[in-house]
Amino acid sequence: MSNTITAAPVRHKNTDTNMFLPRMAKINKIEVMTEKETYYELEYLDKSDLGHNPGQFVEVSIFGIGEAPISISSPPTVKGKFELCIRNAGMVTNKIHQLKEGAMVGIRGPFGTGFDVNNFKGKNVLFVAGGLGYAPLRSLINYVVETRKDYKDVTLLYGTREPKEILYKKEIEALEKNKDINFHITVDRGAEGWTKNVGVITTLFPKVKIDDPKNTIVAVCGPPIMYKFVVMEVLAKNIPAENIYLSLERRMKCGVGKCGHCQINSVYVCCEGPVFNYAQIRDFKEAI
Amino acid sequence: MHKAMTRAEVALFAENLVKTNVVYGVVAKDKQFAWDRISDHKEMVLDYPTTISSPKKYFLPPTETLIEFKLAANPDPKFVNHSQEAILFGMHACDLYATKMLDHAFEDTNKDPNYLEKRKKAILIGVSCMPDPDCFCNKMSVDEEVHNEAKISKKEALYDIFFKNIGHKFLVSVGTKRGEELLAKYAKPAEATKEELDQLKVVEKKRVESFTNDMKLDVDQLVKLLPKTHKSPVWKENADKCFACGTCNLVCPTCYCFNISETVKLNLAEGSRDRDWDSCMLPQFAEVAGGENFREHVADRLRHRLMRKGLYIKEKFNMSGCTGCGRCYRNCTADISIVKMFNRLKEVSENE
Repeated sequence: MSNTITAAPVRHKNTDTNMFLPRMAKINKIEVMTEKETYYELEYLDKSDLGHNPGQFVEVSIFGIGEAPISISSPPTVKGKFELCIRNAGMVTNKIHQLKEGAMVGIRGPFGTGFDVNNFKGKNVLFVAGGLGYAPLRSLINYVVETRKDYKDVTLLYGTREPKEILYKKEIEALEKNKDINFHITVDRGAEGWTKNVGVITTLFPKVKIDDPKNTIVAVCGPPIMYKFVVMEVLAKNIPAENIYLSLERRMKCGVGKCGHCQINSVYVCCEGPVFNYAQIRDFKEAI
Repeated sequence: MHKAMTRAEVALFAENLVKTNVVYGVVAKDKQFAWDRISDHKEMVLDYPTTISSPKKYFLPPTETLIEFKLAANPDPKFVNHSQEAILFGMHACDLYATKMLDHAFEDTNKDPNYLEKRKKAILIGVSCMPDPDCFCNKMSVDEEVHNEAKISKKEALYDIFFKNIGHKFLVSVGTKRGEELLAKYAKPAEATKEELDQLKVVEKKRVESFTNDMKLDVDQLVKLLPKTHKSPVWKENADKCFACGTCNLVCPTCYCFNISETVKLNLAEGSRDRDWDSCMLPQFAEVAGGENFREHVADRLRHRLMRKGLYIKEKFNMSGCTGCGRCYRNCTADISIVKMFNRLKEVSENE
């Protein structure tokens, strides 16, 4: 298993004859994670790699219903297959939730620009994941955990609304026990037996110690409301804007920079995002 | 550079084209004019005011199938190619310019085969026009782009052939090799005489002087002004009148945003994935599955549309996103004028 990936973010260029034509992939494994979110492991019929960078997404097709943009939640080091975490939120994802192992879906992608992984090497890394935002970040988190020696301090902040909404529970437990990772978790509303932090994700920031802010890279993904407040906390720790990466949610309908639904100011999120450097978008009025 | 053809010769040229080619042109529709497939050249008009909708509907139809599939274990999705050789006869400068802008949009980063195949096989024949009071293409650099003969020598013409109406005759400018071959195949035009070329100068001067619009900004001034207007009260002023119906998007020659939807055939065994024109003025345009709407208010959407027309497209493709055709104003249910909106943004910005 190779740990090298082509990390420099490049605008996705489609080499197929038709960018709207999906490739068929088989669902290998399904695991229900929460009331609304389910884990899927997929593979192309020829077992070829998806060839993605952490932070990119695919368009998943259910023929006769439509397509939905889903971020890739496995790191590129997982070969011959890829993983998605899908929330039941619309017609397409509702149908996906009814599928059984062995079912086929269409895949287009990977699309968009992911995290600039090379820029993370040799630095402190701070992950901030809110709710389903853990899924896209997981492609990077698991990659960083696998190549842990390439980074200095690694900190992960994860918040959900309730304990029952925590994704990838086994992996989260492993991260909590991992002495090489500073892991902090919070829920907006506690539940019986919950002994950890209660409060929104920003209540975890007092626990975070940043020794060398100039050499700290931050990766953030969560619900739209979260970014503004997290960015304020991060900037307050003297981490420069250029070191902050945000993965933004928008309506990425075509995935190839044409249909216009995902546009923030002048940029098409499906091509130039969904991962943006904060310095790049802080002047965009519509961004966060 | 110019050839000359009488009206009878142009009519014969059109007749010859229609006999053996797929030709789209402009026909009268009640008191207005519209693009349609031409089966009889006599239906086609060359002297007409701006059509209701633009010829973009030929390259980007209101509904178009992208792929077809089976509703089976193996859906076997297949690309559907709609392209054919065709001639678009009688395009105004604004629509030629818009077509070039759309070419950039569909070629950029990911090539869109459905659009580009149709475009590659189409021959564009332009025709000169006289502005009506709502036309402001002179301010959007369109008039200049199309009538700039230097572009032809640099092979950057926006048309294959262009007919310039000088009254009793048309002077013909050939923009491409393809245009030259088509003209040679179906007509035998004479070289333009000095008198005819002088007459062209008179007509062109008259056209330039005929613009009566009140547009106070050109393309470069818009690019400078708009970044400062994000929080302008002008968006709200107009949003209060706007019905957010999306008519402006439908008639705009440079609006190309689309939605993608699925159609299942009545046999329940096959289906297609189609794209339909969409409108950034409609409330759901930027809404995501979780219910978050990134441009919830009409003012946000109005601002986004005008930013695209005056700023974003220019930044991206170095062409104006607005051609000054005036269609959005002519067809607006609420009588909102893009010219008045741009002017008002300028006025408010200067008084800040």
